[in-house]
Amino acid sequence: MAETTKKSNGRIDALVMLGAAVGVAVLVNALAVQTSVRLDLTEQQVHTLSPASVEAAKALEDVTVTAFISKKLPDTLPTPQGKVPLKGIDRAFRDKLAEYVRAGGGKLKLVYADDGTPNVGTIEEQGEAAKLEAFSSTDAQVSGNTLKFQKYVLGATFHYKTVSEVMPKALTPGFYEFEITQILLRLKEKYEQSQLMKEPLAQGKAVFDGVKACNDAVQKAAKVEEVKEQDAGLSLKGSNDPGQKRLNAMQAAAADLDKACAPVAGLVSGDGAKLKGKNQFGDHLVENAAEFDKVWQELKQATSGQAPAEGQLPPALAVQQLALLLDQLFHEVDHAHQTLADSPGRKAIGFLCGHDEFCPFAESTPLVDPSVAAMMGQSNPMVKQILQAATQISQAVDETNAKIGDNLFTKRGYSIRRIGPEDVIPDDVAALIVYAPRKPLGEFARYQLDQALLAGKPVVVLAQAWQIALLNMQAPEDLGNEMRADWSAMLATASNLDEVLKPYGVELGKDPILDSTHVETVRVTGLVNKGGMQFQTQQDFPYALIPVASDFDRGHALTRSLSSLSLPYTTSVEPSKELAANKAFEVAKVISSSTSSLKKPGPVPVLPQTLKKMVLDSPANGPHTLALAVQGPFKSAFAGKEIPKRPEPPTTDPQHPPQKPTEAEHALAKRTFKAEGKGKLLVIASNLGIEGLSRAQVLAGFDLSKFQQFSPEAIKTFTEWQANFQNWQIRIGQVSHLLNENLQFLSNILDWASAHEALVAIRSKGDARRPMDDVDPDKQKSLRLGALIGSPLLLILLGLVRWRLRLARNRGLKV
Amino acid sequence: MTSAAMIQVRDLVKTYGDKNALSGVSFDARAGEILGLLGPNGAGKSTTMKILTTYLSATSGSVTVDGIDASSNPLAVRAMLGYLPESTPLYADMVVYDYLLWCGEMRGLAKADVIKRMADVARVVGLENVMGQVIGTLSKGYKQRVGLAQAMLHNPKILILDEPTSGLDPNQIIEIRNLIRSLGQNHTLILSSHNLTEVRQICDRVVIIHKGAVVADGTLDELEGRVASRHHLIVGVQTTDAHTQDAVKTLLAETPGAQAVTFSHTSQSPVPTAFFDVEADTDIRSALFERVRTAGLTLLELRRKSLDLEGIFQSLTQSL
Amino acid sequence: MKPIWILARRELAATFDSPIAYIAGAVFLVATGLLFFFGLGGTDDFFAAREATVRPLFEYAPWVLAVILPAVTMRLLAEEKRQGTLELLVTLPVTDLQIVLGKLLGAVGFLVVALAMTLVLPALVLSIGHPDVGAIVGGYIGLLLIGTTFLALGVMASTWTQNQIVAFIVGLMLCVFFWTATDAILRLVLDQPPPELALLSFQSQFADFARGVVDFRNVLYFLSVTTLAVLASTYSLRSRHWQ
Repeated sequence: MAETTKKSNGRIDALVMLGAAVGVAVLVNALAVQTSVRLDLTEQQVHTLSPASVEAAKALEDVTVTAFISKKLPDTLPTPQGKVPLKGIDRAFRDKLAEYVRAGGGKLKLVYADDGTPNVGTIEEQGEAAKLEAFSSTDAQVSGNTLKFQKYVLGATFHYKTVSEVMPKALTPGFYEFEITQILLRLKEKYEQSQLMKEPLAQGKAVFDGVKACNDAVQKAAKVEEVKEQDAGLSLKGSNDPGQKRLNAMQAAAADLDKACAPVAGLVSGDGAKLKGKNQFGDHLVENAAEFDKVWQELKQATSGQAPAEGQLPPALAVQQLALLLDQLFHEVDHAHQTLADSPGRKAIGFLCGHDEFCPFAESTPLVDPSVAAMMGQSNPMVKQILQAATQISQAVDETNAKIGDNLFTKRGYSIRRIGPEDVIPDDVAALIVYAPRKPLGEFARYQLDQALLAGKPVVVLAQAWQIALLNMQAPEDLGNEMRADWSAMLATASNLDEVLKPYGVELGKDPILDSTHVETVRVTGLVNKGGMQFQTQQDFPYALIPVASDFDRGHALTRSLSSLSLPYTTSVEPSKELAANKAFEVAKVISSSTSSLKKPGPVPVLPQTLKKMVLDSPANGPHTLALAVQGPFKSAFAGKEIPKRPEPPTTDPQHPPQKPTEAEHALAKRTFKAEGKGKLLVIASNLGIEGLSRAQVLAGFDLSKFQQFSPEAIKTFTEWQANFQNWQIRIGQVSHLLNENLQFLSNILDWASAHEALVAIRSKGDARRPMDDVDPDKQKSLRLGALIGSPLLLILLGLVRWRLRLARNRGLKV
Repeated sequence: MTSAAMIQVRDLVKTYGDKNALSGVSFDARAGEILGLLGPNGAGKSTTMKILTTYLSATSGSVTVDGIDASSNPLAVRAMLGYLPESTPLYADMVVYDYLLWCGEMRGLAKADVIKRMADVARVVGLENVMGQVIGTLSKGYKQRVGLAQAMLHNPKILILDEPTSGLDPNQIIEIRNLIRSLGQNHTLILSSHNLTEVRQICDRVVIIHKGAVVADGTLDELEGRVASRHHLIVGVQTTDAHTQDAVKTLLAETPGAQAVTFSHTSQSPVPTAFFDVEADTDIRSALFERVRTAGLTLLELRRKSLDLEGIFQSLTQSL
Repeated sequence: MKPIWILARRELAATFDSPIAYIAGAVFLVATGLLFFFGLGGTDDFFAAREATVRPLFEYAPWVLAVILPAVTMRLLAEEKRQGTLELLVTLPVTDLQIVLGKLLGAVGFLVVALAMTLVLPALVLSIGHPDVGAIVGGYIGLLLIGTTFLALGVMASTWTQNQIVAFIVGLMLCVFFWTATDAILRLVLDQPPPELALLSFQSQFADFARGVVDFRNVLYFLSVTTLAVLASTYSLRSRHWQ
């Protein structure tokens, strides 16, 4: 390397050279953005597409992916759970999509929504139009006199032939692969199913289109400038009145409106009638469309200016309200149509309900038939009040359950279905979940479970043998007031799951598993009476009843990525000797408790101090199996037995009477009975901390007959109901901080159950956590001290040694 | 130029900003010669040496070492050089042994060769007893020896030593001078100095640099001959008043051969004396003596002005 | 190549002969250790998180490196300039580029030793769990790259002055700027900095390594910045010719 020392202009030359070097560096780096040479060093190739994803990308011919990425995303996104960092997320998203394109080998086409052209609007507007979920950060701009939050989108749409899927909000890079692969898998199924469902889909679309055309016309005509809603009802006379204006406008457009809306009735009775009964979403669509037509007829009448009947609203106001109602109904129809269009290929997971389980749905029937309630209320105003309050609680329970179902499952892309004790499991339900029933399963439900298992549908059973009541009101009378305040009891549930599972070789224990060392801390809430006043107290307590398991079957997709699970009030589950010996079965002890765990016949004292002492005094006898996955040729529990008849469902809604069980139905069931079949069964001996909230549980002992006459007893019962609901909330609150990992496990269970085992592995990549062994505090301290002091000390020692050695060497240096 | 010129310096100009450090320096150094670069501080000696060693580039002009152009092939030139910069910068925290070993290796010598050479060099410069010492703890004289040792370690054709004796005590100076003289027997050597005696003792030839230009180039004898061709005398006459001074000045000026007479200064002790500088082209001391004596004055002092560097510069710059 | 190696060896030895290596090294180890166990606010608890991961090390170590490494490089050329030894060094038959590379390589030697001493943390995690060893390797590759880049910036700062303290402060500012403040400073200057400029931040370039992915683009970026800093240092050394 010859160095030239310039005599002059060296400075300029150097600057030019350096500038050129910067230019080259920028260019090279800019070009390299396109490249994708990367080395994924992680053990499970967490950041590389799984074979299942690559296969999914290759499986479909010609998928178009349109990515909507806001030009400038905020650094963080505030959420109730805290700030979610978004820095660099767009790059991660682009990279992931590009990875799929490469994996697809040209079968996947990726385009980016562009806001270059003025007609199509901004990326955010386009994204929202494509059903992406826009989100906003804290950046706001003042526009006019309102604060406008900047909207952002980050997501994509996937089109394949006639079907499409949306990835509405891509904010968790760890789940990108899971979501995209899931979408690709679903696109395929959806297309195949939609081919089979062509007709209903077309019918649904026809009805929807008719409704839309009508609503568009009405809303256009009804749109009066500067209408202020509160004004509309106040001054009705005069041409300046917006209500009158609207009425006039609609009267002027009456012919056009009629033209646009007249077909709706025909569509409802034509295509709509054909669609009805084929699919729940179709039903929903048609019902709403019929209602829409009814409202349209009323609107038409109101518009025609006929004198208002007595008690009815003046025409201007009526028109306004009807137009709004019409729009509301249109949105219902729109939603129903979307769900219908989305339904092909969506596999549902059935949740068994009606045995006081965790059942994430609103009850199908009202608590009390309104007409009965009205009748009873007339007789006694106190009864009326109590009934109203009970109905309110019942509604709150329903709402909570529906919300849980929505947030935990529907929003995560699972389609769930309620299976009542009198329901036959429908064909499109691909898996059955029995989530911690606290009441015994009836014969028919057991039979349904049996046949589902034998049909190869994965069956997941979560057990709850015990439940803890931590608040007062349930305490026995003979306890003093003080004691009642924070009395808690461990009560056995009436579950018969042990009997249900026995025929399949699964032995579900009844004894709680306790653990003095591997426990989660729970904040115990209680009410304390002091000087006649009630205080709420809280204290942290290592709760032996919530053992933490970190001993997992790492080979199993369900638990491969988990670090630890907290299993409240768990019991044990073991394979029977015959099952363990049967080579035809694959039995996996998915979760085990620690060696320090203890199996103790219940109930155990749940007062913290007493419990602690008890656990410390008893010798450990762990480990115990807490979850068991069994796969193999099961035999029916009903072989050689009478097949149970479907019980008659309760009639609460006279307008839609449920289908009564028939002899023909029973005869068919006998013929189709399966005595043996390959199945997948997963049994978990805990409810994972998600305690079912049910009307039966909360409104325990609700009996209409008790309210024939008002009695002080009824008041007491009522306060108990309130306490029950509160209890549930408190219990959930107590374990909520343990639930994250548990919910991950639940997601894994659902993926496993929906037969996308590949997805289980992919999803768990997202937050592959690695468990740490249990390290007692003393060892923690010494490890920490060793690392903190040890390494610098070692460095300095090495320095001293080096110094001494050097001195010795230097003294001896001679030439 | 003769083929024996190991180093050719031609028309070197170096400007720092708008300040001229060198304005056209040219000279040669022949193989095996000890060349002294002589000049007062700030004359441009160090700048010239820095350009010779390719530490700096000249603004214009060229340096050719053994036929190689220093600006286009500095590495080849550096390989031929051993350099001791002014004030001998060394890595103070290193042991002499390690430092010399490192220098040798940096110059591309194999470790074994360096160790062999180190033994020779250490003997020559007298470092045998301090090889294991940390350089920072050595005396100035020893540091200078280390500097010399690193410069000659690789047995370079050319040694360039910038003020090799500055800051040393007289004994050390004598030792280093002897050392340099012995080195001159088989190296081409350029050293800079502002000490004429040193140059006289060591150098075969002298290049005198003044204000960035060469004012003289030749052997010391030649230079002294040139300077000696002018006679500077200092005459001290006992006077009592200013009037007498003027008279004396006229008297002196009228001496045959005297060319310029200037009044220098007076001194009051031990007796009032007036001093005059007299220049002449021949030795007129006896004539002067005679004249003063015949004028009835007392001649207290009559001596030739000594040939110090300033004098030489003065005379050279005046004569050139 | 050989002169670079010989130079580097001397620099490394000089670093470890002086107390600065031990002070900087010990501060680095204690600081990363504390951050590893307790987090930035001192409120996190590594053991309480119950996760067998070395991730916190990769989150915090660059911060500490950005502060410590300029202290290691500050001496490299500034001190040579002040002592005058630079004159001897550059008149040895080596190029200015070789000198810069040698100095840098020597400092990288220190970095390697310092990082090697932090291996006690992965060892600790390995003893109490099953961390993803591949991810740890990736993180260390990233630390080595980002550390080298910090060192190159520090060397560059050291060529600009003969005052070690100035070299340290300038080096520190460069490192911290590139590590984190790019965004904030860009925002001060520009209203809406283009997102491409955010890629200048080392933090965004380092993120992948910490996850266990060695991406060519990130490697290229760090090597580019290092190369540019080395070139700038070389020209800075060469600037003596035209001053």
